[in-house]
Amino acid sequence: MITIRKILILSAVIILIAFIPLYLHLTTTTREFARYNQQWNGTSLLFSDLEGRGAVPIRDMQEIQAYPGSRLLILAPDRPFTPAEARAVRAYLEGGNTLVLADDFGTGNDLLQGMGSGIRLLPGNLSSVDLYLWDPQTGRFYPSAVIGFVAREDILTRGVEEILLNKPVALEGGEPLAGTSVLSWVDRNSDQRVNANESFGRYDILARERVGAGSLYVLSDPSIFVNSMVQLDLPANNTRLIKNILDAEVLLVDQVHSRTSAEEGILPLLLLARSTMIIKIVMIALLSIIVAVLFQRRIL
Amino acid sequence: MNRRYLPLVMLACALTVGLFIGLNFSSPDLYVPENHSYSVYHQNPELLEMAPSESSEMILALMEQLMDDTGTVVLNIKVRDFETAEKDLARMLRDVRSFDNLVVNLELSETEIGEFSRYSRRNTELIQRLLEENQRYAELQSLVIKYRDERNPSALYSVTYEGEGLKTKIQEISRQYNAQAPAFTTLGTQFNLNTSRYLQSVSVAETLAEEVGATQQTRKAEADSLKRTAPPSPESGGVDSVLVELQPETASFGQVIQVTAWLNGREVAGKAVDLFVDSDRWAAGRSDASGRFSYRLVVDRIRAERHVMYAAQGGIYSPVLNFSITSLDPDFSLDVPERSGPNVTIRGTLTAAGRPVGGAEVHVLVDGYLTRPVITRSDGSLQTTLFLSPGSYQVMGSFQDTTFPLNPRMTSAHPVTVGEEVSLQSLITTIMIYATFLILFSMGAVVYYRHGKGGEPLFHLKNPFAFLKFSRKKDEPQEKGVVPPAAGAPPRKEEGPAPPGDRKAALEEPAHSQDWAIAQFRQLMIGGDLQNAVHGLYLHLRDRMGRTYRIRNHKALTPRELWKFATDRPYFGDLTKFIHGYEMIRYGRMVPSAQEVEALLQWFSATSSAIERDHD
Repeated sequence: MITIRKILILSAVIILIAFIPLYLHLTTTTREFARYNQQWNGTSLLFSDLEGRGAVPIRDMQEIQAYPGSRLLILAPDRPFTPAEARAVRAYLEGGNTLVLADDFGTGNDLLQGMGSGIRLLPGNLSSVDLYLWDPQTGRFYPSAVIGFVAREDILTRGVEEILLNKPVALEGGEPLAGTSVLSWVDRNSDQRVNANESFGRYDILARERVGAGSLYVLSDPSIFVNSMVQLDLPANNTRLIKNILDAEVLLVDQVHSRTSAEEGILPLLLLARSTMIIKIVMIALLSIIVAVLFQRRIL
Repeated sequence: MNRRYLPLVMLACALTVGLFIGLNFSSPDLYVPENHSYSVYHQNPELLEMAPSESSEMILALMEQLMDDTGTVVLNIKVRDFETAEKDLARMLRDVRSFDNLVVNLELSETEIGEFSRYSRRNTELIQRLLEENQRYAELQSLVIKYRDERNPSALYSVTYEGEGLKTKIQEISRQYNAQAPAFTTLGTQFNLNTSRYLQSVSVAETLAEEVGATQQTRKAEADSLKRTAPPSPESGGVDSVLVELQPETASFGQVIQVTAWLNGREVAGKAVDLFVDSDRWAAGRSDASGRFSYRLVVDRIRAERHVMYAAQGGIYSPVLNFSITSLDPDFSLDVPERSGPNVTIRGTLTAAGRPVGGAEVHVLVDGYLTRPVITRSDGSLQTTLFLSPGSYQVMGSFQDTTFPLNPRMTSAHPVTVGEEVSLQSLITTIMIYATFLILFSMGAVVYYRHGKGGEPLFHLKNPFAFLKFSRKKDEPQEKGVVPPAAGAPPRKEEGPAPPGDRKAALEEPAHSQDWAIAQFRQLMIGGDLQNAVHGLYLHLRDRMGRTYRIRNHKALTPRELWKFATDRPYFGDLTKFIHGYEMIRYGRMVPSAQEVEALLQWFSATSSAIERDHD
């Protein structure tokens, strides 16, 4: 026999189910490269790995001097670097440390210029006939899904032959470690075609520069670290490249300038609640009390 | 929040969620990966697939192959190994097609790669013609030997003149092949390709043309020599010589070249005259009384290049004349495509210099892909129907028929969108699903408003106790202590009170008396439905109190709340006992004895009477 009570219970279940996506929505972010973004364009998987490796988040660039023999990872920076920060990074490198900067459309050039590097990120989508993504339904190819080829062995490129990039830019200067094939071009108008003012040529995607006793590496695409790229099951060697980058005795991760540190709205509060045991217990107790009261008052 | 609103709010929320799900059931768009796939920073690889292994390595290898093939084919033509040349050419044609497809797939048509593809296609076409003309020229060689041995100057002249036409063609092909060599070589060099074999082919083609020229000169000399020594041919029939004249020497599509041939000799009237263009018989007729034959050559389907022309009467040949056909840009346009479901009708017109171009082969391209060729009608119009699957397309026309002296032409693109066809079945299914949702939720709402709150039965027959009675299992053992039905008692259905009116009348309106409630109780007891029998008594009391004391939402009251409400009433003692007994039977599943039942009825009657007195 169907009763009002059963309808109420069913209604409550439906509402609860409807609230699950809301909760998921509030406890994650969709911002590009964000460490709490669990979707295809976030870096939650990378940061899970970084936490497992005991990577040190850097929230003040002056802190990096305190980690000699370390490697600093700056991914997709979008906040400007002050001259003092650029000097700090240079001093860090001169001290024999390593910096890996992965950027395409961000503020990486500000840092490179500020620290006196000769490497530059060139504007415009780097595209290539050597591509790895297409849409079989439309038959459309995606030339900005570029396959790069390792040109020189280095500590970062050891065991790596090909690198799958996702909308990279081209690099200028430094010692090239990896580049594209000759059938590549800078797609200045982003129409995914080669136009009259765009011509084929080889472009660098990974370059190295010695700075004092240290090394600066610039990778022209931070997208290789996003979840959907990390999860790609491909014959190319992105996994090995990322492993090479992360394999450091002491790994520092920039959280000052990087898009990976993006947190917005009530997300920090919810994340705090989710990650703090006492708050979890309180929330569960509150929910239990509410349910008990509802039963006691014969509402449920 | 007042708890009586809570179910309403929850039901409304659930209804909203249900409606939302119902609305989107057939085509949910709450979340699909495509909704969140765009980013300026990266493509979403999860939505795409791994591309086939087209790579620069493969493309460059194919480009080099296309360059190398030219050298192989032309070299085989030179050594007169036409069979091998044909095989090589067939492979080259396949390679060109593969490369064309690759260029279209990778959307490289407008790049240097696309340019390379176009040059390759043109090279293949020229080499194919070079092969065909050389094969024909080689065939003539055997005829030359035969006629020379037979000392037949007339036939030898015929063959020599045909060879003259072929010589012009071969030289023209060689010239065109040579003309595009610098640009093609530059492209090859740009991509670090080895161009040596291609350049060798250009050189060999040039040599071929020179060799044919030299051979022709020898043949002509032989024919002249034979003619001088041989007796006059009986076919000439009194004609000594033939002259030909044409005006103008250069023309383009649609223009007219006036050709005039004169016969000189004793008998020139009514003689058969043949007119040859590039060794092909182009026209035939008879001379007039003065030995003159006129012909208007309308430039239509003839290649844009240098051609040779001569006239012949019997075994007498005129000197060879040259004329040139130049190419011009045609006007080619497509109308806005007409769509009827998945069928898209394409219409267009091809004209040049204001004249229709009939019999030309054109192609309709859909997103750059060639569809089957369409031949234009005599008025220059064309029509074709394409079957397209749902999606958006760019449709354009392509004219590249080189047998006409017209430059290649592409029309502007027309966008075409073919939508999803909604089948009647899927439409009905969608409507039915939506209707089911609406009906279910409407029923829920109606039931809610009819029966209020508090765990009451939702669906009743006219007599609520009768419905409750049937909810008991038939084979359930008789409860101990309950009075069994009297012998000869009528069946339950017949003995049910079934008073006029429905449940509303029974429970909400104070139309029934205390005796009526007791009668219902007894009948249910006879039916063995103890639980609902006592519940009927309780409902009677609850409703009577609710109406007497104007208790808001009295139907939501629990027995204990009802009991608390009557704390200061004179019948509180009886009510207390009744509620206690009711709970023992209803919730405690106690089976009362006959005495206990009577006591319960006593407490009920006392309470009910007291409430009735208060009401009065």
